[in-house]
Amino acid sequence: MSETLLKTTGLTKTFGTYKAVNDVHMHIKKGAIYGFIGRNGAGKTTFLKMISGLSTPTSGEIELFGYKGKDIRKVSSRIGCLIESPGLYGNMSAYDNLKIKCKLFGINRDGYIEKILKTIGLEETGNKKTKHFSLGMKQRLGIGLALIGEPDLLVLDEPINGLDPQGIVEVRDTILRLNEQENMTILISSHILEELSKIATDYGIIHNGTLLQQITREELMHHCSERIEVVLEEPKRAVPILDSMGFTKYQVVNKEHINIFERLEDSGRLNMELNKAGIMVKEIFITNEELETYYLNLTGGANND
Amino acid sequence: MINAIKMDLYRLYKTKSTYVIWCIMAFVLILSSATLKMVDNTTTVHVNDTMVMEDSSDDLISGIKDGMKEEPVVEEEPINIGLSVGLPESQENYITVYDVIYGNVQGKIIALFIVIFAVLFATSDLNSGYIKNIGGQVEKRGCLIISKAVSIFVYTVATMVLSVLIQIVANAVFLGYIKWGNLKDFFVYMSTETFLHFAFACICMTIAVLVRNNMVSMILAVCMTMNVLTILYGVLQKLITKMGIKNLKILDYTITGKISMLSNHVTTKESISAICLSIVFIIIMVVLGKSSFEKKDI
Repeated sequence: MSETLLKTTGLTKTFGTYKAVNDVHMHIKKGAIYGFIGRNGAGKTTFLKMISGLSTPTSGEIELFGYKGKDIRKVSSRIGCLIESPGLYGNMSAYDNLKIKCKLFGINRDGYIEKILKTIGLEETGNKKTKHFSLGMKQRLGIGLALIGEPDLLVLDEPINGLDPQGIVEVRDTILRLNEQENMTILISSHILEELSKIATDYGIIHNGTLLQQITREELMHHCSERIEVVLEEPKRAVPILDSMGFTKYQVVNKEHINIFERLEDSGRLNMELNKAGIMVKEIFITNEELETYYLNLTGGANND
Repeated sequence: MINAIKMDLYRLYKTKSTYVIWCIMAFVLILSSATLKMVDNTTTVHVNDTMVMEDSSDDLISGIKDGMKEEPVVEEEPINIGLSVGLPESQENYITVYDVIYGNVQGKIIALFIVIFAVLFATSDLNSGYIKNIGGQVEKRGCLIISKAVSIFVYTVATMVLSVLIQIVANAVFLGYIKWGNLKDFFVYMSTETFLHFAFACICMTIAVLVRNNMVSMILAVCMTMNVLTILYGVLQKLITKMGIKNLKILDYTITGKISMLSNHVTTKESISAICLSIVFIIIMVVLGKSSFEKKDI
C-alpha cells in the first residue's frame, strides 16, 4: 500500500473575510500524479502556495513526508514548485537562472545544469537572455528550476499554459518519465482537463475554496465511461431481466435510471426483453460523460460564472 | 546560510546593474574631476569647508556652478538641501586625492549610487518572481535577507575602492599630478565611511523589502541621500530643545548626518562612534527586514 506523502487537514486560508481555501482535507500517495482541477479563482494557486511554503495557512495542518508544523521546514527542500508564471531573471540566461538556484542548494556537480537543460529542451539557448524567451520556453525553464535538487514532490501550477501542442506533449512526457523513472510524486493543476486525464492517477476537484471530491482515475473513468442509459419506471423490476441476460456491470442510479457499463451492442435486445416483461422503457440510449461535463456537473456548471 | 550568501554573491556578479551603476558613477566622478581642473586653474579662496571661486569670467563661474552645487559662505553651519560637494580646507597649493574623495563622500555622491544599487538588488528577486523558486525551499527564509546584506556589503566595499581608483586616475589625467594627502587619515576616514555607507544601504534595503515597491523605495532612498530628511531632523531638534534637552543633536545619531559631518581629520573617538552607530543601524535593519520577510506571504 502506497504511503501518504502529503496530507492536509482542515487547511484554510483567509484574506480578511474572504476564504480563498476552506477546510481542505487532501491526501496524496507517494508516486501518484495528482491532478488538481478547478476554475479560475477556485483556490488552486492559494492552496499550492501553502503546500510550497510560500504562504502561511490561516488554520489547519500540513503533513509532508511525515513531518508536521514547524518541522516541515526541515524537508521543504524536497519540494520543487512552479507557481503561476515562472519567476526568472530576465537579463540572465537559462543557465545562469539555474545556476543561481544550484548555488543555494550547494550543487556543484559537473554537467548537472546541462542535464536539466536537456530534460526541458533548452540545451540550445546558450547565452540568450530569458526576457527574449517565448512563453513556452519560460514555462519549461520554470519546470527546470523546480527540478533542481531532485525533489520528491513536484508542484506544478498550470505548467502547460502557453505551450504549443508539441510543447504540451513534451511536458507530458517529461512528467510521465519523472514519475515512472524517478518515482517522483507530482501535484499538477490545470484547466485543460483532457490533458490531465492522460497523465493523472488521482484527482482533486476544488470549487470556491472547497475540495468537492477526491477521486481515483479508475473511479473517474467509471463515472465518465460509455454506458447504456435506461430511463424507465420501477428500475427494480428490470434487475432480474438484466441478471437473466448476463449483465453484471450495471448500476441502479435512482428511481428512474439504470446505467449499464458493458455490452453496449445489446441495447436493442435489452429493450425487447424489458418490453416482453411488461416494463415500460421511456428512453434507452448509449452515452458517455466528458470529463469536463462531469466536472461542470459537480461544480454546478456554467451558471457559476 | 553559506549557500544563500554564495547564491547572492553569484547574483551580484551576474547582475547587469552592478556594472551599469559603476559606469555611471565613474562618469560622474570623472566629470566632477574635470570641473575641478577648471577650478584649479582659477584663483581660489578656501573658506571653512566651502570653496568660493573668484574669477573674472562669469561664464566659468556659472559653468562650475552647474557641475558643483555651491554652498553659501556663512560663518554658521550651512543648511544644505540636495547634494553638495565641496573640498576641505587645505594649507597646500595642490588638490590631493583625499581632498576630492572627501568632497565626493561627504556630498553623498558615492552613497547615492550605493543605495540605488541596494534597492535594485534587494527587490530584484521579488519583482522578477524568482523568489517563488526558492522562498519556500529554504529552512529559514530570513537568511535570504542576510545574504542580500552580505552582498550589498561586498558591493559597498568594492564601490569605495573603485571610487578611489577612479579618482587617482582622474587626478593624474586632469590635474597632471597625484598627491595622496595624509594616508593615515585617508585610510581611517574611508574605513569609517564604508561602514556608514553600508549602514545607509541596509536602511534602504530594509525599506525596499518592507515597502515592496521599487518606485517608492527608490524615491525614499534618493531623498534621504539628498538630505530631505534634514527638514524632519530640524523639526525634531526644535522639539527636543523645547523639551529642555540641550546637549542632544539628532544629526549625531543619524547615518546620513554622520556621513556628511565626519571630518577629514578623523579622531579615534569619532571613528569608533561612527562605526558603533553603523553597527547598531545594520543590526536593527537586518533584524527588521528578516522578521518581515519571514512572516509575509510571497
